[in-house]
Amino acid sequence: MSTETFTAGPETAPSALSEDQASVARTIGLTGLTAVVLGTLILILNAANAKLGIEIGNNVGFAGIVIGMAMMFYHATRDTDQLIRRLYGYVGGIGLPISGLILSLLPVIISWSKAAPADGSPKPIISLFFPFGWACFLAGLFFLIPFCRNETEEKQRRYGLQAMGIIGALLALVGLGGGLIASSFALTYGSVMALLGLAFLVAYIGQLGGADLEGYRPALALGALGLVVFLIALIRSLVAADTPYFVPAGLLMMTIGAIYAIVAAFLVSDQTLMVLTRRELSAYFYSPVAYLVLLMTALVAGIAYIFFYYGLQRERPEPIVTNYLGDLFSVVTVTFIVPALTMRLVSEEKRTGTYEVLMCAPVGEVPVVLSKLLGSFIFFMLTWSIWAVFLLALRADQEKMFEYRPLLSYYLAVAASGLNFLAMGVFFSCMTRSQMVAAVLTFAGMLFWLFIFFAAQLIPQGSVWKAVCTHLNYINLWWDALGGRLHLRDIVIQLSLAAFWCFLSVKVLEARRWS
Amino acid sequence: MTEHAIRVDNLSKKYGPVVAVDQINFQVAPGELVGFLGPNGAGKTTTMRILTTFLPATSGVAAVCGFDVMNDSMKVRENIGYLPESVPLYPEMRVEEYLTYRAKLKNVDRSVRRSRVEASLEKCRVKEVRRRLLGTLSKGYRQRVGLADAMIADPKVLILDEPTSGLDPIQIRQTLDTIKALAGTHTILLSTHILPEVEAICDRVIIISRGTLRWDGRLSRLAEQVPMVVMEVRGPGEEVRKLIEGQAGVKKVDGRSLDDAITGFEIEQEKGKDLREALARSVMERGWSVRRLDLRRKNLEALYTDVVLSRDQA
Repeated sequence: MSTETFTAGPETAPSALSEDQASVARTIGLTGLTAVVLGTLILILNAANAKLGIEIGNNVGFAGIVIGMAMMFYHATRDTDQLIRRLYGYVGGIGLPISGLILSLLPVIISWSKAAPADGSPKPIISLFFPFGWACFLAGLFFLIPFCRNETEEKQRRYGLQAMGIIGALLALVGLGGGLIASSFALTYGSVMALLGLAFLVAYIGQLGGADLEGYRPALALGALGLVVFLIALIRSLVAADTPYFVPAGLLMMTIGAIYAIVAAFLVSDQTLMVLTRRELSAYFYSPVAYLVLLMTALVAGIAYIFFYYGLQRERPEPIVTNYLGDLFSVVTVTFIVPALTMRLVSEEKRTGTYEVLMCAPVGEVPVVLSKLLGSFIFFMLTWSIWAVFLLALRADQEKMFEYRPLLSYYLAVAASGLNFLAMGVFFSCMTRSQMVAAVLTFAGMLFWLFIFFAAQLIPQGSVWKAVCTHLNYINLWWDALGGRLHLRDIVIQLSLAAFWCFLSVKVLEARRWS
Repeated sequence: MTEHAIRVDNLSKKYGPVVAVDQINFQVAPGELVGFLGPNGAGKTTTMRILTTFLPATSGVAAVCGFDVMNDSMKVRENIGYLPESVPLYPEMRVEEYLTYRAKLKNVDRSVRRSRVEASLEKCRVKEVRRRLLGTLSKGYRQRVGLADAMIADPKVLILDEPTSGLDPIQIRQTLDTIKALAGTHTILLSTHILPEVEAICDRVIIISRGTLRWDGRLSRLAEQVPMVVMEVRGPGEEVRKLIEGQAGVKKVDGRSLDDAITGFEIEQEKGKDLREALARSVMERGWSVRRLDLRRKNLEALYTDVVLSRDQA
């Protein structure tokens, strides 16, 4: 029989074995569902002014919803049953954005149709975009991604993709367009909508197969949109008007436009570093570890937020965020998430042998190490943004204005020390083939940094070592940043340590070629 | 000597006290398709890993397309496509996505990337699984995705470590056809355990065993060698042997008794002669009967067994 006349039919059954029942994931998912339902119930009862025996604030409800959602995301990625995944895809991925849309628009229409107040003041227009609408959109995205990824039927997958693309385009266009027209819109709804839209569109392009397959044109369109927004905002800022547009709305819109363009450039770039980083980042979103990390951060941040909220009943001096982030909660979280994020990076590639395949392509060690660092860093900052999500809830729920600027310096400090920790994790991951060994070493490293903090407290005043420990430890850096004091020298120390770890990692990997 | 696609001079590799590869030498001309044979643990994979620059040699020189694997590692990697034995893949990527990713890493220009990916999918017959996640593929598909990855950048030199392991017989034939079609324009070094595969597509064969090079030559030359006469005779063994030895044109006779009265002989004859008829006639004249009479050419399997076993005993 010659091969020309015989054509083998496509193989259908995969050889890989998978569990029939994802029972652990299902338990987690159901618990999450319960938490979400309870949280929603609390919000509804509070809104209806129900008199309950005990006083439960809306914030407990918020925390319940966020934690429950994180649990359900985890389940959505892990379940092996196609029907359950589709259920999550439809209810979570499409139902949530639609309810977000209704929550955002319906109150506007109702308040618009009401008669104007008798005293002649303008009609109050309310929208539930904050805090509910945007959260619904964001949660919907997290359900759509695993749905599109795991769906085997092409038609179903297309529906998911189209939903993602359409929602993203709508959010981006309304957010950007509105922001360009009205300054007040840009500062509140516009910017959040534009960023949400960006998240949807990036996920859409990613699920289309990245910017090389079908995603190339959408990615270019994204970049073009960003540039157009940037230019219009620039022109509007330059044109003289009665009310100045440049600060802050123009500046904000220009930043968002630039972010769109940069993200699009990141997506279409053919530079080895960018190509590798994109893979690292997408690998996070398909691994259970990442969702566990998000889940854990959501839990800890939720608990911290509840404590913080009850603390707020008493008057606190500004900046009040110190009481939320300037606590050991965030320190404990970072100690655990850094090993979880970095342990896999190089050790797993070495264990499975993909490292050999990678190094047989014309790729140097430097881009490999940097891409691991950059990928984990982007994901790390994403987990930190969960903390900020709770603060948005505070602002929306309480109509409470608080000083938010220390957050900027705080996040800068977190970013600098985060680079240091992650680079350390990458180094330990380069050293071994075992994820566990890498995790334990990195965890020990994190404990060492914690130890320096306590050493700084214990060493008596006047000792040189006290100064050394104070400047080296990240906790003092973070807390000072929360107070609005960002020490450049301490940032430089963290960054140079990060560079040092990268250098060591590259040398460890290069050693293979000489030994 | 840049005319060689692959050049290996006195290459040695030690893992601590264990010598994996011991002073081997060979050259491969551009466009040649070379079968690289040897028992398990002979040092095939180690040699290939040195050629792909993944491992450093302990001593000796290896060059691919004129670039030294040690000093011009990037240039070497730009010119090779490598299929490792176990075909490690990222389980969470889709086939198409993975190949595009690899094409980008191998600097395939954007303008031709799409068509290169399509061509590889087509050639390696993985088109029907292009959207599947790599983690769910069967061994045969993984192997072919690995092969598609190796040839995606159209490299001058392909180094394939057991490209047919895990495939079913029809897939093996198809894969071999694919590889054979690449020969001529590409230099291919192919390792395998399955000798008929090598006979089917390779002319040149290199056999290594226990880290040393044992045989390097062409199968066509093997075919040109004078065939042996194989004969089985019923009769007194020693007398028959003497008779055969006395025949003109016989160089050497090996005899061993098979049954009670039957003796088998392997007879080396002089070049250009076929002694079958003459031998049969003289045996029959003495009243003995012939059970078998045959010509045997040395094939790869016999060669392999000879080369690997004889030296092992030595």
